[in-house]
Amino acid sequence: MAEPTAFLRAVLRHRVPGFELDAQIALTHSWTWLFGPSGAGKTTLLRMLCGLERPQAGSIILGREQLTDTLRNFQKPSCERGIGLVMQEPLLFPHWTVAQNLLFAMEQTSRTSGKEMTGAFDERGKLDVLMERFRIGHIAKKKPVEISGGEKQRVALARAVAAPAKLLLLDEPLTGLDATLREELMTTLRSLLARRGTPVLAVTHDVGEVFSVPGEVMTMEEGRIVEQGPAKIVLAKQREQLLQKLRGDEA
Amino acid sequence: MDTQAILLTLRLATVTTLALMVIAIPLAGWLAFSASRMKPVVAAIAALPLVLPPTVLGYYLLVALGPTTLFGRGLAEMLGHPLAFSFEGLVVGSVLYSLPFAVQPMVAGFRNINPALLETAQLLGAKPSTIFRDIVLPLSRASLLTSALLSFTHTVGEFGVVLMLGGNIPGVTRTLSIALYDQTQDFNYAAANRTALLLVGISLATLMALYTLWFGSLNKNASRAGSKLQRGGVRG
Repeated sequence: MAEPTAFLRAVLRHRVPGFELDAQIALTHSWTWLFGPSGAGKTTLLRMLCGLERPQAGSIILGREQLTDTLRNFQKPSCERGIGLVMQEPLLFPHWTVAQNLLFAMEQTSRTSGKEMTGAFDERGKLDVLMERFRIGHIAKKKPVEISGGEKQRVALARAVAAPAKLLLLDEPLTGLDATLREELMTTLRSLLARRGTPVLAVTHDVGEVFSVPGEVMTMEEGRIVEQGPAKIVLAKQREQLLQKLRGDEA
Repeated sequence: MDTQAILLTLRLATVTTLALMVIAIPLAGWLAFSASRMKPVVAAIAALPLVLPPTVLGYYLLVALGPTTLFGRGLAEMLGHPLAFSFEGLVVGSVLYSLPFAVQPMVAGFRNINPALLETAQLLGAKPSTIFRDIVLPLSRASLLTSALLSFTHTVGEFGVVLMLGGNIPGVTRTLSIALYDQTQDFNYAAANRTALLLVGISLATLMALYTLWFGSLNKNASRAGSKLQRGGVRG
C-alpha cells in the first residue's frame, strides 16, 4: 500500500542546559508511534507541534499550513492550530460537570477555523453520541472530583475529540489504567479517528502497545529521531538491543 | 451617632470596591499572565500604595486633580466642580489607595491555577479572552471575593488620603475615620468611643464574613473530596 506524502513536516532545534533537541520529522501514516525512553524529548516534541512551546530554531508545516517558522519569527497560536493533545493527567476543568467540559470543547469553533463548524442546534445530539461512545453518559452531570481516575480519562479523551482536529497528539493518556480499560478506550478512539480521518501521533515506551495498533514507529533518543518505519523492522532492532543489554547484564 | 458619616463611609467603600473590581481584574490578569518586560514596572506602581504614606498619595492627587493642572481643570470642566474636596475625588483617591489590596489576591489566585489546565483550554481552541472569562475567573472565585472584601474594609479604614484630598465636609467627604479624628481633637471622647467601636465593628464583621466564606469553601471542597482533614483543621 503506497502511503501518501507527508502531511506534517517539522524541523526542530532547541538547546537548553542538559537537553538538546534536534529532530526532523515527516508524518505519513494515520497512526504514528513516538517510541523512546523517558527524557528523550518526546513530550517536548509534542508541545512544540501543538504550539505550547516555541523551538529556538525550526519550522512546522501541517498540511499546507505553516505553524511555526522561526526564520520569520512566526508562531501560530495553539488555539488556532487545530491540534489536540491528551496527556496522562486528565486535566478536566474542575468547576464544570462532565457534560460542560465536553460542551466547552465543542463550542470553541476557532479550532476548526470554520471548516467543519458545528451548529448549536445539533450540539446536544453530538454530545449525547459522544458520551455514549465513551460510556460516560451516566456521569454527565457529575463534577471531576466525583468521578474515578478511569472515568476522568474517558472524559479527557472524549473532550479531545469533541471537536474535529487536524492532528491528535497522545502523550500516554492510557498509562496507569488497567488493561481492559486501555483496550476498550483504544478501540473507541481508533474507530472514531479513522472515521474522521484524524491522524495520531502517540507517545509510548511500551513495545507491546506499539504492536497493538498498526502504523509507523519513530524512535527517539536524546533529542533525536533515530529511526522511522514499520514496527516490525524498527522494533526488531529495538528488541535486539534490549536482548543484548539483557545478555550484557547477565555476563 | 453620626449617621451621615456612617452612610458616607459605606457608600464610599461600596463605590470604591465596585470600581476596583472593574479596574483590578484586567490589571491582575495582565500581571499574572503577560510576558511583557514592563511587568515589574507596572507591578511596582500598582503596589506602591502599600508602602507610600497615604498623605503622599493624597498630596499628589490633590495637586493632579486640582485647578493648577490641565488635567484637573479639564476634569473640573467635565464634572462642573473640582474633583478635589468632592465625593468623586474621594473615590479616585480610595481606588488608588486600595488598588494593591484588590490586585494582589487576584494575581495570587490567577497564578495558583494549574497552567496545564489553561494550556488544555488553548488546545481545545479557546482564545485567551475566553479562557480568562470561562476558566480563570470562575476558578478564582475565592480570590475575587477576598479582593472585594479587603478593598471594602481597607476603604472603610482609610484616613490620610481622605484628609488630604477631601478635607472634612459633612455628608460629602467627612467619613467615619475623619469624624473620629475631629471628635478626638474636640476631646469628645464619648462620641469618639462610639465611632471607633463602629469602625472596629464594620471591619471585624467584614473580615468575619470573609473568613466564614473562605473556610466554608474549604469545607465544601474537603467534604466533596471525601477528606475530613481540612474540616478538622478549621475547628482546631
